[in-house]
Amino acid sequence: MKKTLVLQDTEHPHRSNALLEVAFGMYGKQHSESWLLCYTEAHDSILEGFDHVVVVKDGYQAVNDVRGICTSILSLYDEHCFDSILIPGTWVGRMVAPRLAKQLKVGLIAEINDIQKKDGTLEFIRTAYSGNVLCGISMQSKSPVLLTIKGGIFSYKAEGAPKAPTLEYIAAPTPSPTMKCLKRSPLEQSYDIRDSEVLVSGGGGAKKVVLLLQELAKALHGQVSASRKLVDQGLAERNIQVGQSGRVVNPKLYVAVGIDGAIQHVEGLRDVETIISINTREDAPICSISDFVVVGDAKICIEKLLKRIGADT
Amino acid sequence: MHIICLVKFVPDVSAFNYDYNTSSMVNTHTKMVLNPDDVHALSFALQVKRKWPETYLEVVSMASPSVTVYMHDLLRLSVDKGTLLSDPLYAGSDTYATSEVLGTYLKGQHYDCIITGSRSLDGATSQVPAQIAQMLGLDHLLDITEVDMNHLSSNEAQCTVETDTEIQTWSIQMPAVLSFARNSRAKLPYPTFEALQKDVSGKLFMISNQDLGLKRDSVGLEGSLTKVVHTYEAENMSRAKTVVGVNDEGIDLLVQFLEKRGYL
Repeated sequence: MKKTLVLQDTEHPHRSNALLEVAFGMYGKQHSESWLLCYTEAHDSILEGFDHVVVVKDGYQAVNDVRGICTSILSLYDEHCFDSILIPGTWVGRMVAPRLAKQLKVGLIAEINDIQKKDGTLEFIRTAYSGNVLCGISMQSKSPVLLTIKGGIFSYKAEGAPKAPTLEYIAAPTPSPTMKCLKRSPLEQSYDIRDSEVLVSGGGGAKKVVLLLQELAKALHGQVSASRKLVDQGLAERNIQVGQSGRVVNPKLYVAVGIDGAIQHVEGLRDVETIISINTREDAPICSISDFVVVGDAKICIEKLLKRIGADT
Repeated sequence: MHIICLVKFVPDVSAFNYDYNTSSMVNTHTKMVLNPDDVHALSFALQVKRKWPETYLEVVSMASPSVTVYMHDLLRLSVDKGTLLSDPLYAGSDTYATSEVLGTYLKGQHYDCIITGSRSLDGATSQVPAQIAQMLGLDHLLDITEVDMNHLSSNEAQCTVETDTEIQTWSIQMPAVLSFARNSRAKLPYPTFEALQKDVSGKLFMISNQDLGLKRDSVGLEGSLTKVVHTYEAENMSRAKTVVGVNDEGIDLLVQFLEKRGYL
């Protein structure tokens, strides 16, 4: 049996078991035994798939205590000697995992997209250079394998009736008095682009049609997302950014307006059913993975389309 | 206040192009730029220095001596000292080995605050700042969007961060590692004409492994705990596509396409 510890994704609690797929990918489902370190209330939907759940008492107070989380993980590691420790690629996870790597003296592979087995060794695939290159990385250090995984890449596939995990309760270490959260407020974005079925996405070539993107998204019952270029220019919020430094999306329809498509963008669209691109360049990378390409000016195209379907205002 | 700002020079990836038909990189020209997140960090430090001129600002980078000219550019912007950690032994270091080098240098320095970018443009794993914080036994905040200048001292900083779902304000005691998120509005000032004429090479210090004394097997490729074993060319994912122009016929076909697939 190979043992895996998963740190709960406290920003999206129901996504934690997606990380189990990574363990199954490494060891096979039959050979995996899993633990979840849980900071929120332990609902069935969160626990599904795990063999053991370690619940942190009053965990909601400790969700952002990075050093405390490291301490709890290390003490569980001392007890169970995990073969792998999987950390969600959240704000907290991205601070926890590198610290753990230093404490355990192991390598850390961050934000993996895929796992491959080559001659019995594991190779982890991730993008680099702003998503322009895909790298296969191998771990040179001893156990455990330490990874961070971004939300939306893997998803848990339930099989058969869920079994009830064993439950254990632990106390959180006393948080350090040197850091204090003074205020928390939810981001104002009313939607999460990862949940959208239809996305109208703007890139560097959509600078002048940002408002039209909204109208088109509305007409197609979808939401607006953006590429890094548009976000960097301050024309879109970072929380609707698609790609390596943004979010991984999985809509049914993706309309790419003025997006050229670096690998990160194109890789993230592998499973999208339908891709339409509107671009002045037919040879833009995104056009070669599109089902439908409109070559020409985005403004005129969207205006004509809205008029044609009677959605113009 | 004594600020150490860690920076990295990265290839300007916006100049990268990928040809999907031949599955290859088209690298017409690749110049180095200051990592965008680090631009935000350094512009914050310069802002602090403008407000409190007695602030001492050091910029540290681990890189090959070829970035000397870029370091000189930064030293023309009221940066007091530049340090380049450079040794052939360090080539090929992964994040683990990189933080060993930077952390070892920082252990011997005086500072109230270490500031960095959150992610680098090339690796984008945001591991090094957290690992340095771990090595130095300091607190760390990632993805800082703003630091409140009214609550900034050599004892405390109040920082706003943006997570995936929330905006949070934190009070953090100094010394600490503060990592800034990319901010498109953050820009470095242009050097003055006077500064452009100045010889700043006296403000740049080269530190080699002879100074730091790290073991050969703890740095560079040998000290790296992860290894890039393959670089993949993107799989050909071409689809059978319809190509139209922006004219009535094209829009008609687009509408038919959307209707057929149930989106209209």
